[in-house]
Amino acid sequence: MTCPICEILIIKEMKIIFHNLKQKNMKDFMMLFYSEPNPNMEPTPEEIEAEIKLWMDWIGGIGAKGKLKHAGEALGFEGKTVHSDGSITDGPYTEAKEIVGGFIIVTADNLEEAVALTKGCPVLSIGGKAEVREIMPTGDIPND
Amino acid sequence: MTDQQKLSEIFKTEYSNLVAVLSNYYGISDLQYAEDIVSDTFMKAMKAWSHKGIPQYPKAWLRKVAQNLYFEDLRRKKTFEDKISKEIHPNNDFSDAPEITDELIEDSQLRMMFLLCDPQLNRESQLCIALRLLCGFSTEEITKALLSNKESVNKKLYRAKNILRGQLSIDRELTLKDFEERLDNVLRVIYLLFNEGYYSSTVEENIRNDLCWEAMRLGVFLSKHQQSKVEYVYALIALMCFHASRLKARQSGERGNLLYHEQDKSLWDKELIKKGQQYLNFASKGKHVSKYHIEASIAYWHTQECEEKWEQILMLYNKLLTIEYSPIIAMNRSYALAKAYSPDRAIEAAFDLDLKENVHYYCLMAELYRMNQDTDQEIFNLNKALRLVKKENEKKLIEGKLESVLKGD
Repeated sequence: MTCPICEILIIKEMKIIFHNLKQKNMKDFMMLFYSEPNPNMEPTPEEIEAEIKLWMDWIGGIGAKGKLKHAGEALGFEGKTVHSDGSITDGPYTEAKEIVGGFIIVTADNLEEAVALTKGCPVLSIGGKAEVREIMPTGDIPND
Repeated sequence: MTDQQKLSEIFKTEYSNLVAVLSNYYGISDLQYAEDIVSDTFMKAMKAWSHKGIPQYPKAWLRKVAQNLYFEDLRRKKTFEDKISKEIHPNNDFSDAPEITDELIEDSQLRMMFLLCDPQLNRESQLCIALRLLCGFSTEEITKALLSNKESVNKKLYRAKNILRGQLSIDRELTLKDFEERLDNVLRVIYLLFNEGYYSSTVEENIRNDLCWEAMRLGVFLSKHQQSKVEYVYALIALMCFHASRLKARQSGERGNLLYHEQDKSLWDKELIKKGQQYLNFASKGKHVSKYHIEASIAYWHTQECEEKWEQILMLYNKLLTIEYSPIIAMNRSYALAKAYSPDRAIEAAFDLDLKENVHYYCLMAELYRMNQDTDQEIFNLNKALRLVKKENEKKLIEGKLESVLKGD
């Protein structure tokens, strides 16, 4: 890793990484992104690229704070829903107009801090919403 | 190069070679013992060469002497054992022992790399012992390279040698699984070695080319033998090629250690850049993408001069941060942010970084404020950096910047 300004290669960050691994009491939160799908939208490759860039800049920003646990995934619009009576319906959305379009997982001290991380989230600028939920720890499964 | 420098360079490379061969092929299970033989060899060399000068083939000389010392010692022990018990240990049959050749050394070093990165050792211990045995670092040098203290390095070396006792012999077979599981650590060790050469933490001159070339040699050598995830190795080699392409340009000025924008770009090594691109191509044909792929891509863009590169670089840093967090990566990202968008956004992001004891952090902040033409803040941050800086030539650099900003250029 070089610093572009001073031509300094830096891997001597070992210590700091070790230090960060030791940080405890942080909780994991999942951010779920909801938006209303527009079936008529056919974005050009450039538009798709610009969209990805917006998201990556935002996610990179969380990463730069050291709060990114999982970069998440984006979900397609198509899907099916399986019901308890065994029936299967088209589409991931049944009642709600908005569907889950993707998620990421962040770490934070508490819910307030996690909510603050949504600042600048691209879903908010297109009228969608972000839901922040704590991930419940499920026993002693080691992190590694 | 003076004889003194030449000597220390020879010792440095030959140290690891000899220890590797002695333990791997002659079956010395006690690392300390192997190291003692090598030290004795160097003592002999110092004595002999101080009168006659360095021989034409110093490495061959050292190898021969090390071999002889070992066999002499063995003979003595064997006689001793023979007299006490008539048993002759089959491992100690040295009549058909191989000569120390380059091939043997390469093979031993490869084995050594993987054997030292034993999962029984924690990461820092692996690094300590690898720097000692593969790179011939002194305890002092390891201490500085790892930002640690002497006592803890010594402790780690001692413990590592104990755990590795008996593990480093030709009888210890390395399985495909070993090669797969230990690769990450082996790559880290090679990269650390390269880093130490590219920006030395131990010597004032900052750049130690020999270590860079040694790291690249190990990388290329590894790529020829590694079967699984060889794309990681290719990516690391590409990364090292791109960085190394600027070594000459960096050292061309009177001050030495020229900054990126001060370098004469015609001195960048085009051949190495091309080599790097080739390796990056090989790397991208693999199944997996590692952080080395991304870092190599960033390093590639730094060898290019177009302005649009900053958007690409920012994107790559974003991606890198999704794989691994480090405040240093985050710091570099904020510079890309400034170049791709605006210094304001970069400053905002940089405020969140937990690097308040880091000289380069304040240099970065000063640079960001300079881009924003905020002279007061620039001076403030340069002064902060000046208070933290330890190395003499870095201090001069910061003072120079401070001077020019106070003069108002």
